[in-house]
Amino acid sequence: MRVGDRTFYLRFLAGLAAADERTARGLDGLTDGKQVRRASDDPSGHHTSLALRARLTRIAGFDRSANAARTDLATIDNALGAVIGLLTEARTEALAGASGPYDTSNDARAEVVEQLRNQLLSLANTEQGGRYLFGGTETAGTPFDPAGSYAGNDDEVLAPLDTQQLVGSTLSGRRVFLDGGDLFGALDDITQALRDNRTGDVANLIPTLTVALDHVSEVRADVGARMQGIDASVDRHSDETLTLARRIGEIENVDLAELVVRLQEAESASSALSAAAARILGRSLFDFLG
Amino acid sequence: MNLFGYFSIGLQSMNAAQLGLRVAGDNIANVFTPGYARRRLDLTTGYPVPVPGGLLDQGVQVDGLRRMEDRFLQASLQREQGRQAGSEELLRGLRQIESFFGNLEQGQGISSALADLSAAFDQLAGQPDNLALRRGAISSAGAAAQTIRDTYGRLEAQRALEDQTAGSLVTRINSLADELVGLNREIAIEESGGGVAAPLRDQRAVVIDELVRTTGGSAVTASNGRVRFSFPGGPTLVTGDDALPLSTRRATDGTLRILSGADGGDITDRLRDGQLGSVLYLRDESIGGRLADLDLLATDLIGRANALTAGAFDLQGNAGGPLFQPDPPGGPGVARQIAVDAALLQDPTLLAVSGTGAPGSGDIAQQLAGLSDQASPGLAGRSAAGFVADLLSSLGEEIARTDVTEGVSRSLVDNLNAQIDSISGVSLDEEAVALIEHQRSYEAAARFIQVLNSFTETAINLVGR
Repeated sequence: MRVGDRTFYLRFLAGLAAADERTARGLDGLTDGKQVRRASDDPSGHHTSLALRARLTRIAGFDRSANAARTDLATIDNALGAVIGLLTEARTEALAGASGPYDTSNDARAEVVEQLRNQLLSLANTEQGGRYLFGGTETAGTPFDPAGSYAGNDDEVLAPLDTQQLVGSTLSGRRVFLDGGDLFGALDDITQALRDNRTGDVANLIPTLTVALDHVSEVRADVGARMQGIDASVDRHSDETLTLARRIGEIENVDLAELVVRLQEAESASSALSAAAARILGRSLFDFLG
Repeated sequence: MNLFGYFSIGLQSMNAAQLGLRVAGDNIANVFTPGYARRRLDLTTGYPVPVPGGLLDQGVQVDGLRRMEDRFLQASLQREQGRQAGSEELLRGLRQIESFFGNLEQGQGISSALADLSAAFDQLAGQPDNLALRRGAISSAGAAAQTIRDTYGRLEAQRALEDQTAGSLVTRINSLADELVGLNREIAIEESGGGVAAPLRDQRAVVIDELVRTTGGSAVTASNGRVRFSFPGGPTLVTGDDALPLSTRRATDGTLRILSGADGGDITDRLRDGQLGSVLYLRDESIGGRLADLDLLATDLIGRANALTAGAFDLQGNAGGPLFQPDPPGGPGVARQIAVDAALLQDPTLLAVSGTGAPGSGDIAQQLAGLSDQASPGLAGRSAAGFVADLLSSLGEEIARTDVTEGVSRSLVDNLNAQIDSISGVSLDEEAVALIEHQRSYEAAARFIQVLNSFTETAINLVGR
């Protein structure tokens, strides 16, 4: 085939442009280590990566929600622990007051039980960052008034741990302080019975405290289970995050070894082409004519 | 023929050598000139004269100058160049459109903003009475709205740019059509006396090449040597002696419409080849389609979010207002306007995420968090995140397809150029040989005349004695 001089130049330019393009693409990969940045790089990989990245972001949101819920539940757990200690102490006082004959110290015991009742009210109105934790979803106002009447509701603030997983991060005050027996009423009655030295009545009220103690302990166990559930969720998310990050990396990250080989190929092609061009281009029969 | 008649043979030979030298010089000078097809001097033997014993050729005769070209290959190249120019233009525009949607690593895109919105409302659902989290959720909703708005704005600006480009291309096409008509006429005049107006044909080839790249149309040379030029699918731009320039008008939506010069009909939607076709496709289909998609997305988001908040209660227990504006959404351009309700930016307690009115109830926040992931009838059963991912995916696939098409076209153009160059291209080696041939031919002719001169001198001296 007859070959015009222009063909040599065009072929050389096309070859050089192709090698340059391969080099530029390789350098892009080296710059940020990515082979998929936009959909056009790999439409299906990009589609998958978007979903994986969205899931990562969502997990981070769930974990923030979980951590906040855990903080609330830890506060509730501490409060319930204090309630149990307080009820145990009240029962001890009641047992002492009910056990003997007339004892002038029952007045002092009554004072102690009254103090414990006030502490119980304070614990029932436990707050965290201005939010009451024993008001159900009525978190803005004090759940219990001084008389021990409940102003909250029976719902719970539900913190999402995942798309289909919720955990209650508050408790209904009714459930804690009233459903196992009206704790405020029981302590009020014990206080009055001690003051009146009605030891028989005091003895009759002790089982109420015992039942309440069991009930609060059960609630506390439930809170503990919730915290364990949160920890398990966060751990699961931690594993999932690693898996997602690895899958994202597999899709988006460049294979450095392969990239370096491709760059070397492009460089070799470019060098060989340039060397050949330097020998061929610009040379013609004129060079040999005298 | 007598002895003196032989001088004309030598003279013809010297003239032919000189012309050959001149042609070789032209070829060498234009070795890289775009549109130049190498010339060849056609020589034949002179008209034979009878001599005793038969016929004898009478020197050399210059038949003419030939412009070396293959019209079939040239037409194939032009067709492919039109496709390549169209693909290049389309690729440029599609890549530009894709860049408006951000990239994965920077996390600037709509998908990323929607995921942030979900995460912020997930967090708020767990502490719906937390003012900082309310501000965060409102802010993330605002960021998602702004990302949609910004993307829409960039697409609209690009559409305006493509519209302007289409107008400029129409002007250029009309100018090229005038040039083609002028060259048709000049070539007809120059060639009316026989011969080939090669330089004018070179110029015409360059004009046609640009017209083909711009329009994707085709040129046909009529029997009278004039070139007709038509758009793909029929509308004529140049009849031969006359141009039928395109005209334009503005449609009610402000976009440029292109009218045929032949019958004034609107041919905008038929122009899908060459640079102009790609620019119009980008404007109307690629960008127009994505704008419609974003309107659909914004309408769906606003509709679903506001329906949720309308049935909910704010932190004070009052009935909720909209999360997004405009409320209700509708009509083209919603994505240009989508924004978080201004009242929420002033007072985050107004964000309605409680289904019961209790401040600790965040069930609606949880549902708002699901806006991105849950399938919606308004998006043909896809989630908002899936809708955006599909949008980007289809764009990416179109870019990948166009990239392949462009590569194939480029390769074909390279091959056709090489084939054409094998016919029309100048080879300096050939021209070097031609120079030697003509030089030697000239020297031989001169020597021939010298010998003749010696003959005639001898004859004259005989007469003089």
